[in-house]
Amino acid sequence: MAGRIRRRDLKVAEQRSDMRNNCPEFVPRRSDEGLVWTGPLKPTPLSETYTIEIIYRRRHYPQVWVRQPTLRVKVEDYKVVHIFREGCLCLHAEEEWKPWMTISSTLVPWAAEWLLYYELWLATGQWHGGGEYRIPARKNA
Amino acid sequence: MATATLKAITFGSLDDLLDAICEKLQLRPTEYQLAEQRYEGIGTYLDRHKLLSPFRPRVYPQGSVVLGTTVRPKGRQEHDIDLVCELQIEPSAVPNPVAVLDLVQQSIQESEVYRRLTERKNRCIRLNYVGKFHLDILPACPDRSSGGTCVVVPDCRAQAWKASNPEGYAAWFKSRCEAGATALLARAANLPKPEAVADKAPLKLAVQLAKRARDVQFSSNADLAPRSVILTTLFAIHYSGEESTFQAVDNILSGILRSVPATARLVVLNPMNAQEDFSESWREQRQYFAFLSFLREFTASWQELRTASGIQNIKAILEKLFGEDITSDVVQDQVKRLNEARAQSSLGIAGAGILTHVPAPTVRPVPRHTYHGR
Repeated sequence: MAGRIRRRDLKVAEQRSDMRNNCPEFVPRRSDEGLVWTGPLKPTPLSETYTIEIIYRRRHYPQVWVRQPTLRVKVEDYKVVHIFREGCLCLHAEEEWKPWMTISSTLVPWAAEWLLYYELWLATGQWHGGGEYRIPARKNA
Repeated sequence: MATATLKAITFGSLDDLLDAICEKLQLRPTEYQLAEQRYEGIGTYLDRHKLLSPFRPRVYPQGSVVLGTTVRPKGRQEHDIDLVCELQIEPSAVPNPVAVLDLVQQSIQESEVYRRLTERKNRCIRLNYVGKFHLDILPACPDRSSGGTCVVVPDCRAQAWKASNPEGYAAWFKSRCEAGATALLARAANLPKPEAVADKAPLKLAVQLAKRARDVQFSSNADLAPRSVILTTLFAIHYSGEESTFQAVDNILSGILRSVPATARLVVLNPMNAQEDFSESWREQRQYFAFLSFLREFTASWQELRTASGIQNIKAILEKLFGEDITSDVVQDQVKRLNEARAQSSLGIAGAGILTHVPAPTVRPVPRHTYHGR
């Protein structure tokens, strides 16, 4: 049997080029926090269009923020809708994202899905997306 | 993410939601079967009744059940099935038209079973199947002077014959569903089988939605509600073959609004018998004004719907139009579909983040993940 191929972590530049190819609407810029992509997501044709920011620094989990429109979530509901205390989205369990994964194929669709569940939560008062409330350590990836 | 025209997995379009609402408005198969049995029962009974047989009765369904525009009722528990009992009687030979209604009532009441269910109305004998539906039996006589399928029906309040043409009307409505194509007159004695929403002409769905919106708006003052036949006629006149239910309602409503005269009232005649004024009750201004305000509110909500985005906002408008219960059910069904796709990992993303089914060439699957929180 062939030995397991260890997947190589992607460099920031590789994530950047992958995003350019797969999510061309997301515009990258450099900031103190790392590389930041800003782009639109509209999870269904009937949904609002949201402006998302994805912040990525090597050896850190990417952060996803909804910048526009302002989320209508009170702090006491953060747990229910899976938002971190600082206000970015909790989209995965720690082990579900690894630095060899492309952001375009993980965080972007997860964020789109989150936005759909968010609208459904506003519409029905219930979070239909499942999930866990385990406290993830905010350590490096 | 190149823009792709892919079928979104949920909340794909307003038409998807409107069709889903119509699905909820349809009679359930068990409700239909029961109505069909009862209809056939009374039909056979009237066909064979000794008091009526000299007049060679012909029993046939009319109204929404023939048009395919039946709506499950809101609040009250019963829907209605209308049928005509046409008798070969020369109207001019009957000095008192109400005698024909009496004759049909007497025939019905000779049955022990039917007697308990009978209620006399202005133009028909009603059989009340409490909590289920009622069958309205409308006696009619051929109107040879008007010709074709025109009939006259006895009217108690007016103590006179009133003109009508239910069969001609059904054929006309059918041709309007094709936006003008000539439909053959179907002389069916049986209750037509219910049509699936997906197979229905958008005009039928538009009428179902209008009737439901009317039931919601007039839930606390039903006496002011515009008659179904008026809504059906106006919708059919102003339908111009749109494929989209949303677009059909949109254009129809603007068409009706444009047709409202500035000073006099709108008159809605039976297109197949101009002697029948469906809008007679609008001579009472209160009734007519109630219709106008319904029309304006319906139109305003429809315009809101056109520009709304966000499922929560669209749901709120649909709730206002069609009621909370039905709208919630429709949203829950979409949630179920979404979560099934997610459980089967068949959720993909295309276009500007639109969730869809995989596989499709431009769709990338969404990997499994778990929402977290603390």
